[in-house]
Order: sequence, then structure tokens, then C-alpha cells
Amino acid sequence: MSDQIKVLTVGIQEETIGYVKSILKEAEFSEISDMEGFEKLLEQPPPGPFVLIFTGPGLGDAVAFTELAQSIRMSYSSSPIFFITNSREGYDRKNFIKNGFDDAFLIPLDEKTLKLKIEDILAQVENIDLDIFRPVKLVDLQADTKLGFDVSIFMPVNKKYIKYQNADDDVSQERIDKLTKHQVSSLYVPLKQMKKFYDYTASKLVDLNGKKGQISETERQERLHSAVRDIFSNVFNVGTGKDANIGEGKKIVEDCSQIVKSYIMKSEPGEWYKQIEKSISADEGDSYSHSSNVSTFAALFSIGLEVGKPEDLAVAGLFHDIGLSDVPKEILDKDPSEWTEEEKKIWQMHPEFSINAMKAKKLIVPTEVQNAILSHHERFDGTGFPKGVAGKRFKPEAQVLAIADQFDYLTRVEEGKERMTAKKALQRMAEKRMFDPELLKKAMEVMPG
Amino acid sequence: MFDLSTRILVVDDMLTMRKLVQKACKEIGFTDFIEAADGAKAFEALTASESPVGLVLSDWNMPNCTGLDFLKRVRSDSRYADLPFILITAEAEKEQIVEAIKSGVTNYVVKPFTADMLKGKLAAAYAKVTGG
Repeated sequence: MSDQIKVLTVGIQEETIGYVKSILKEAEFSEISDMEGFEKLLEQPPPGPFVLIFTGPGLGDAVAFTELAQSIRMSYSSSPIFFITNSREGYDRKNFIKNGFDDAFLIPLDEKTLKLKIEDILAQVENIDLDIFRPVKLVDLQADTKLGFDVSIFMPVNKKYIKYQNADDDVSQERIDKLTKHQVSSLYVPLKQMKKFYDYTASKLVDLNGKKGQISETERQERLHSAVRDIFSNVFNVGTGKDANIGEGKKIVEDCSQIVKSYIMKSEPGEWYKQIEKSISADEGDSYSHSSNVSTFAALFSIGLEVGKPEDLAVAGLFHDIGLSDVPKEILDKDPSEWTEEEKKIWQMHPEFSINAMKAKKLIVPTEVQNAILSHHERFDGTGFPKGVAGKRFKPEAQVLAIADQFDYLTRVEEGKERMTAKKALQRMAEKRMFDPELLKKAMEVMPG
Repeated sequence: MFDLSTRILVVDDMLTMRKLVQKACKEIGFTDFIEAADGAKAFEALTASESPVGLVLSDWNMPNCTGLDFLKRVRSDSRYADLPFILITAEAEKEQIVEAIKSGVTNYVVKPFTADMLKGKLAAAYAKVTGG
């Protein structure tokens, strides 16, 4: 990164500025942290141009967020303005965006999303080198076509990207088959070349179908992620208790069904295990990507194992971990091996927190969905939580959600961790007697590898 | 375009916003301002002003008397039937703009705006009231 990156912060909380600085290590920061500084912003704004402007509730009630947006926009007409807060109080992402902010982020939930958005903006700045890659799906590449962008594979254990294909060369069927054989479902494109990737997939889809409107697998997952983020911020934003509005709760549930219909229930019959392989996470991801993946996997396992209703299990997947946002950040930030007994107990309450959060927000879902969410950490041998149910008392639909949850955890490509294939993940679950052996066997039988 | 010596009435319940609106107007070249913190006070200021107000820039969302209430009151007084009146709205209030148009608003500007955006809105408002 070069020294030309200038960043302005206005009223950003101390707790969050550290996080922003850790992402923008080499940027030059101008910071406004008190009312005196804010007044000056109106009279003598610090000289830009700023690549990014961050604001937050740090100036207190003296400045309304609409005034913040207006004061900044007047001095800097084109810089993106992000609102960042660690308080759910008054957080209403839609309203922030409606009032002129380019985006709003709730920390810690949005930490990783914020990082991605900052990187996206840096990628638009000319003359800076970025050593950042974005995952794309192998299925989006077509044999014997010129890609126009470099493609790498990622070695998670060594944390290395190795170039697999040059932008100027045609990608051969042989090379695609080789990756498929090794069950590599994601490749990595330099962030600065992602635009070329989108152009490529758009034109290839038109060539294939002769019509527009179709989206690539990479984009399907990105859109699902963004839709899940919208759902979460709506849940946090709807009033609770007496204030909760049944209409708003109903709208959120309807939105979920729409998401499930548009982005998840698109698998072709008989191909469910192929869809599963395609959906394996290419990076560590965040809460939203975990929710979207568990949702996708739960629906697909439901189809493949013929257990429960796929649509219901997909909805359960979207909400299963929403209660984690009620677990204190200190606990979430710690490595589980360092938890005290008390902290462990609190973390283990998150399935109940999820149910409580949904009830408080008047999200009315089928009983099976509630049961599955509540039981997504139960185990077939009775070692799970919160109830420690075992054997037949661990309902099959609930097991499908729990399998999906574990599956995402095990297969996700993470730095320092060896890549695990779909079949291996299922074998691991079977060895540990986590779920009904019959269910796992049925899945393993069809899974290639 | 409006004569730069036009007296402008700036209405907003937030002090900072009043300052910001004036700052944008000053960047365009205007110099003569009076202020009010809500619609009721604004109507008093409008009628009491010694030299006549030639342009109103009013926020929409204010306690007591909203920008829309103020607009209706202004238009119900025959002396101000043609007074250029610009509402400043949040994107969130834009859906209600139809009611403001029915009530005789000259133009509206959505927050957050830049001085250039405001200038464009003022020029359009001027063209509208002068029939140009």
C-alpha cells in the first residue's frame, strides 16, 4: 500500500478505530474526535481527497447522524462515508443508508464485511499494489475460453496463493478436470481483476443461454450473503417486547422465504451432492457467510437424505446462530480452549438466545424450525447441548441442521488448516458419533471421493 | 438565478444544519440570512422581517410545526402565494414529497447535499417561479 491513502474519521468510537487502523495500516489518518474538531470541519475542513471517511456515534447526542452525513458530504462530495458503531442502540442500517451514508456496520458482527468493503474501495484506487485475492467458483469457468484474469489456487496450510492460470491463456478442459478430481471448488482471483471476472461470467452466461439475468455461482453466493446481512440488520432493528411489530416480524419471515426460494432452492434433482460441493466456503468468512452456507447445506441435505422440508431447514439455517450476537464480545474473541466454565456456559446458551431473539422480534416460524435451531449443537451420543438429548430423541430434522452446521465448520477453507473434502467431513462426523450413523452413511454413499 | 442579495429564511431545528445550509448558500454567493428553529417561529420571522424574504429553505422533519405544516401556512397567506419555498428532506421522507408538491412547494433537496447540488435546485426553482 502506498502513502497516498488518506482517511478521515469523524466521531468514531475508540473501540472501533483500532480495528479500522489494523486494516488500513499504512494509511494517513485525520481524526476528528470532539465537538471542537467537528465545528472546525465546517469552517476549515482538513484537506482531502480522502479515499474513505469513517464516522460513528463518538460525538454523542450533540450531533445527529443526519447532521454528520450532511457536514461531511458538504466538504467532501465524492468520498464514501461509512458509519461504524459497536452499539445496537439506534442502529438502523437502512436508515443510515437512506440518509446519505454509503454503508453502516455493526461491530463485531460486521467486522469481516467491513474489511471486505474497505478492500473493495482500495482496489479502485490507482497506483496501489494490493496483495488481496477473492474466491470465485470453479464451475463459473468454462473450458477453452480466454479468461482475461489470473487464477490462483490457495494452499491453506502454507497460507500461499499459487498461480494456476494466466489471464491471457485459454483454460483447458483438462485443467478444469484436474481441479474437479481434487475436489477443489474455489479458485482465487486478484481483487484488482475481479471486474474482469464479472465481465467474463456475464458474457459467458449470455453466450450459453442467449439471455441476460442469469447469475454465476460466485455471484449467487455473494448475493445470498448480502441478503442475509439485510435480514440480520432488519432483525436487530425491529423493536422488541411490547414495541415489536407483528407486521415487521412477518415481513422478515417473508423476506427469508424469498431468499430461500431465489438463492437456495435452485438445485436440480439428483444433483444435490454436487451442489453441496459447489457451496463449500472458500475462506474463513463471517457470520453471514456461515448462515448462508448452513442454510444452503441444510436444504441440500434435507433433499438428499429425504428428511424434513428443505425450505424450513433453510430458514432454520439462516437464524440458527443469530443468538451469538447476545454473547459478549470478550467471549467470542477468546479461543474456546481459554474459556472459563462460566463463559462456556454462556456460549452454550446461544441456541436458546437465537430462539429468544426470534420470539422477541415476533418472527413466527414452524415448530420444526424452532426445534432444529434449539438443537443444532446436540449430538447423537448425548454429549451435545443445551439439553444433551441422545439417540432417537435427537429429531432427524434437527440432525440435518446440525450436520449442515458441522459440515460448514469442517469444510471451510481456512488459513493454517488442511482442506477437508465433503466426504472426509462426513466421515469425521461419523467417527465422532455426532449424528445418526444411518443418516451419515446415506450421505457418504453418494458423495464422491 | 436568484439575485445574490436575496434574503433567505433558513429553518431547521438543528443549529448545525442551519449553519450547514447557510454555508452552502454562502459558497454560492448569498449573504443575507435569517433563521428559525421550527415552522411556527419561522412564520413569525417571515412576517416580522423588515426587508422582505425572497427565498425559504426549510427542513421537513421538525418538532411542533413541520416543514410541510409551515409550507401550508405560508401558501394559505396570499402575500406569500408565490414565495420560492424549498424543502430539505431526508431520503426517508422523499416518499411524502407528493404531498409537498400538492401543497405548493417550489422544489426540494435531499440530504446530504453539496453546495453544487443546492445551486442546481435553486436555479431550477428560480426558473419555475419566473416561468423561464
